[in-house]
Amino acid sequence: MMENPADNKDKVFKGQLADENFILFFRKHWLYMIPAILIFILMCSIVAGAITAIVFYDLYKISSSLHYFVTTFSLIIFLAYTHWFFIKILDHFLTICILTDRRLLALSKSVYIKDLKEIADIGTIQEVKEDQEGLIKNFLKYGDIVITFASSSAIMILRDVPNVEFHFRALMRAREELIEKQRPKEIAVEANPVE
Amino acid sequence: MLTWLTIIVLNIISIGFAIVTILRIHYGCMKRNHLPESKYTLLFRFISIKKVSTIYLFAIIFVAAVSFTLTYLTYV
Repeated sequence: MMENPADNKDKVFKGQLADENFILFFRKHWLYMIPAILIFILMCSIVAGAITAIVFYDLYKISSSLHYFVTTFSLIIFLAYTHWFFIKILDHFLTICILTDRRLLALSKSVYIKDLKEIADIGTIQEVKEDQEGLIKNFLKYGDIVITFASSSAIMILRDVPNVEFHFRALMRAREELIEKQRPKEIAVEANPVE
Repeated sequence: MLTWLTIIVLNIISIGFAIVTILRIHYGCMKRNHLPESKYTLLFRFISIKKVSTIYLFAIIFVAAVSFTLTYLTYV
């Protein structure tokens, strides 16, 4: 997706530079959400079973202070867990990685607690490693991308990237295009040095 | 009476919290972004953030309805 570089400021995402073109974005692979979803389904099944037992065996007719405390405590726990689960799912949508023709932005955000931004200039990338080790990772085509920078010893790890090979190639292509864009200027300066 | 009061207060707080969360997501976090969604960005390749928000709200309302029904069966 190439836009007019003159007026791209905040066009696709908040923080986009005026001369920056958006290429793609991605979220983490859905597989890392599976344990939380399975536990939520199990919890709902237990609660549904308990409610069915209460109605079927007429347990709701037992009116005592213990009954009141058990009902209230169970409701508080289940409501808290339901909110926690849905906020976790919503957090999945806020944690994104954006690739533009100049930068790589890893935004890790949650609804209430977290707001982390990691921005890397793709021109300074020295080495990119694709890590897709394991049967499930190869079968579902997801993995990690490890980025090493030329300017420092710092590394950037993008975890659980879906279709890791496609995103690896997109990153490498963006890097090559940026280097190609910068190269003619250097050659022109070398050919016509200012006297 | 105390049970009814507890159930009503808990569910009002719960539904209010869900509404605040959804409004915060849509008007605080997502409104400024116009990122094109694809199969690599949706949960299970088809669940969008709007669907999750809708399911969240309906789930909380459903829990409230069930808790009111059980309280009604017990005390009325």
